[in-house]
Amino acid sequence: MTNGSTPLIHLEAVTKVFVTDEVETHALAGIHMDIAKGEYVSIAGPSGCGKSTLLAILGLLDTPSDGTYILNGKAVSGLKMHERARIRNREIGFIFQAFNLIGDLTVYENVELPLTYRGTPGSERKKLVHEALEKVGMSHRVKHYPSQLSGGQQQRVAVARALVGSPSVLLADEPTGNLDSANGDAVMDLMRELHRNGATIVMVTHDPRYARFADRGIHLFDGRIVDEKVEAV
Amino acid sequence: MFHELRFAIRTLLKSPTFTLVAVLTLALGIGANTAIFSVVNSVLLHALPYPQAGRMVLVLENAKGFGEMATAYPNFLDWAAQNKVFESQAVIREDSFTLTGVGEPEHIRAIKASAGIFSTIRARPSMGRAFLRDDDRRGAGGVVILTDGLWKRRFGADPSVIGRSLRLDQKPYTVIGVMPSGFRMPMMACDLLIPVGLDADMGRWSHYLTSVARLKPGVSMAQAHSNLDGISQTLQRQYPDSNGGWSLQVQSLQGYINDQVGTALLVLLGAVGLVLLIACANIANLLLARATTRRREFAIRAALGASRSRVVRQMLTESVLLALIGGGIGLLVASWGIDFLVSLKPADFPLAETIHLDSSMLLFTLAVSIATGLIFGITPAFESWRLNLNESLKEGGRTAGTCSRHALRKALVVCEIALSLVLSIGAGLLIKSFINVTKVHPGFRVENVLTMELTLPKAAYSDDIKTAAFYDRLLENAKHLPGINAAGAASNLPLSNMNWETGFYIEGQPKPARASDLQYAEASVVAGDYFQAMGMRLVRGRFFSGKDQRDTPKVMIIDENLAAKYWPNQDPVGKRLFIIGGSLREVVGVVGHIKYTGLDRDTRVEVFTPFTQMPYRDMYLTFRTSADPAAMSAAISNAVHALDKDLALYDVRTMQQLVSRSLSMRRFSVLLLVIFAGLALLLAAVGIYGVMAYSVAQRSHEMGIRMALGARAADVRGLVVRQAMRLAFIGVVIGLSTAFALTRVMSSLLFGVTATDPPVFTGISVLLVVVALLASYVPARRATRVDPIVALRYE
Ligand SMILES: Nc1ncnc2c1ncn2[C@@H]1O[C@H](COP(=O)(O)OP(=O)(O)O)[C@@H](O)[C@H]1O
Ligand SMILES: [Mg+2]
Repeated sequence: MTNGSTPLIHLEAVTKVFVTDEVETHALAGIHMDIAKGEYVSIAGPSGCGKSTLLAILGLLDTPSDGTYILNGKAVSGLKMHERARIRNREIGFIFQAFNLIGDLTVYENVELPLTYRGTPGSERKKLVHEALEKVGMSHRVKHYPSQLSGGQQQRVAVARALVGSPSVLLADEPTGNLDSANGDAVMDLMRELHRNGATIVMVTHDPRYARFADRGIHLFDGRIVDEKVEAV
Repeated sequence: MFHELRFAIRTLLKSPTFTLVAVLTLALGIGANTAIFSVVNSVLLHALPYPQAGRMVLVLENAKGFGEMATAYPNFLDWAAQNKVFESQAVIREDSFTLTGVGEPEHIRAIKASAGIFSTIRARPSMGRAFLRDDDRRGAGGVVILTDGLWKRRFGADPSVIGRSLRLDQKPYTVIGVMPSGFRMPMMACDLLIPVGLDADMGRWSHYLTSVARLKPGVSMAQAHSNLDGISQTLQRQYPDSNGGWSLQVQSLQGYINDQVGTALLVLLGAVGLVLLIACANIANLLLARATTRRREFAIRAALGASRSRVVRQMLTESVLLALIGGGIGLLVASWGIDFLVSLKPADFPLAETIHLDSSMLLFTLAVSIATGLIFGITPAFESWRLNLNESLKEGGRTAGTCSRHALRKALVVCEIALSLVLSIGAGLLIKSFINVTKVHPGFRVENVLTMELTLPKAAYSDDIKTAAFYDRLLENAKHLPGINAAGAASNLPLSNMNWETGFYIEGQPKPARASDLQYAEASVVAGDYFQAMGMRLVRGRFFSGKDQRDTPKVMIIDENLAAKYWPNQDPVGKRLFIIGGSLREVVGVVGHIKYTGLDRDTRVEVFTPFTQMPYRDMYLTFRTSADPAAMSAAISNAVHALDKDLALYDVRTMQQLVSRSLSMRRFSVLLLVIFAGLALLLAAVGIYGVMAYSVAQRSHEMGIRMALGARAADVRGLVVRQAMRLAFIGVVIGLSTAFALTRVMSSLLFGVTATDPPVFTGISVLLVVVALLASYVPARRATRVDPIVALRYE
């Protein structure tokens, strides 16, 4: 917590247990965490330690097995499907390692998608999409399909899609994992830029170089936070 | 080839569900086609089981402004003697008799035929002799030739039956021959044959015979036509009174039969063909889905050096094998289907009792199966070809959704939707026509009427007095039976396939100089309370009554249409008409018009004459009952036998049954087309379901992304349903334009509805969209159950 106001994200004793074939996997084992508005948090840890699971819970894609999650002052653990969808749509921006753009849609349509689920009127959608693409430097490629873009360009489009609806928090799961270092650097610069302009970011990354950009680094091991350090900015 | 076959069998066994679904779909499609084709085959292609049947023709007399008419015997004798184009010709006519002298009296069907019939159809008795020219002589001794059926049934297949005597309507006849089993006359059914000339009506006014002829080899229809034309012109000059304006026409016998039922059958054949096409599209879709999962197999084959054509051959072997198995089971479906068709057999369907599976059907099924296999196999086969080409390109970056391969499957579904729309519109038009026909008011009250036929033998009822006395007493007795409200009789009943036409002209107008200038009316002789029994409406004047006797002034009743046509603003009662071959008669009443020849036909104007002034031996008894009419038949039969125990009542039917029978051909085509359309809709629904389910499975990753971005269940459902709706919409548009072009061929089957009826076209389109909606709903629901975390996990 970097200031005294209520945190944007508050996790208390959050656990996640997966049961498959009678084997219980404790993916998260009691996570306590606060993330303030405007913070840039990086999450690191070995493969399988629960990073993606944590991000999925933060993004309301998944529900904790136990514990409390308060987002923007509101308990969101027990919400109904359509309410969760609404919150995902308004409060959360996802950026994935695999870009996850929709191949049948153009760059413009991909970025527009969160706004259409929100019912934003057409003219405003257009403005917002162009602003978002402007921010990531992709406004010259609106009519292209994802397959016509390089990996770095695709990820920039994905970032534009994540931020087009001005969500409360951007969740990025190894956003540079599928990129070469030059493209990876460009995307990370972009994230830093967004943060500087006030965005709250939670990012999973292995790369210590990129982790350093964050205000705070969290280390996970076997579903627990083992280390937490605040970077000197 | 053997290798491919073995592998194909193994592949099919490996995915039993797919194989089962495909084989059943095919069995249904091919079976239905075989069944319908066997009907078409026997009715259209093999209706005439005679050597060189292509040379057989009908000769019709044709009156200007009136159309085709039957032959008058003296005219036949003239053109038979004078023509140079026929090798042989004959006249035939259906008749019926009461057979006595061999056990119980029985009503039997006979064909009166002139001696030429045997050489014309090229059939000979298997025992005894055929008719000779001499047998046609008026006053010759009565001879009969039995059909195999009657010979076995009534004579116990007695080998010494030749020379035996029997009585038809109490007149003695001698058996001179027996026809072989399997023999049948063109267009008519019978138990025995008797010579037509014996009691031929020699008037040139009496058009009551059917003429069949066999062209000499090498003679064309045009030549026959011009030869007969010349003869008819001579006859016109010789007999201007009776033959003025009449000409002779030749029509191929096969063509005539085709005209009778051809359109309906061809529409059904087309419909069932469409069903098969839809089935093909469905299986092609299944195969395409499988081809996707078999990409690896094809890639490995290609890597091992299999040429593309080999892979295509492998695919086609599989699909043809599948189709052949489907065809085999289809034969079972067909034999069951044929039983079903025969059980539905419309009353007037020619020769339907002979439909069965034969070697030509086996060939047909084989050919259809192979063609089917190729049709549905070709697309996936070439798809596999393309897959090979693209194999290396498929491992590109990860983006959700691939539309190109899917486009083919969508195109197939669009075709299915279009085809089933066409079929359903056809069915819709027929249903609407059927409803329109059943809504036609026949002009009489159908319910609670019992009818039956009664024929008085000539020997016992040799004159009008006896005949009249019999019916008088019968109707008088019957009237007082409990449960009978009115008793009457008529020489011919509406909707019974029996009608008389009579020429007439109005008193005060000059008698037309030529027969073709006469007006014609449906005529019937009616007895007792016929009008009341039928529930007909009296518009003006009165019904016949006891006042109208043999020696009172000649009277008649006309229908409102005749009245409106000739006396539009006058009271027709008291006016007089001259009936050709009859006398001047005064109109005493006007009744409502009734539908004589069919609810869906325009009927000529009608005239009714009283039985007392024109007694007739063969009458349809008609009773209005207070309760279930069928239950009254025993009481009536008793009343008849109380007067004469030798009489046989036959064709006992309620009016309801007659109406229903008159609709049977229509009902038959409606029912079948509805079945086919239902099948088509079902297949199309399965097709849509399959494609959408596949698409949802393919797009689960995309669905996951959308959900992560905040799509609600309704958004995801909408996405799938919209996609299905887009396909449905394209299919409907294509289907509508196809239907616009195609339904025209069935206009002759429609009644009260145009071939492009907007309500049917819109209604069926909506129906199809609803079907598509339902079919896509299950996959749509499944799409909402995609777990975004699972879908998005990147391995
Ligand atoms: N849906 C699931 N079902 C079962 N086990 C899961 C599921 N998702 C994740 N896990 C398990 O939970 C643990 C944490 O996974 P994850 O959060 O993906 O790790 P990370 O992203 O840090 O590599 C792993 O052991 C993984 O196998
Ligand atoms: Mg992970």
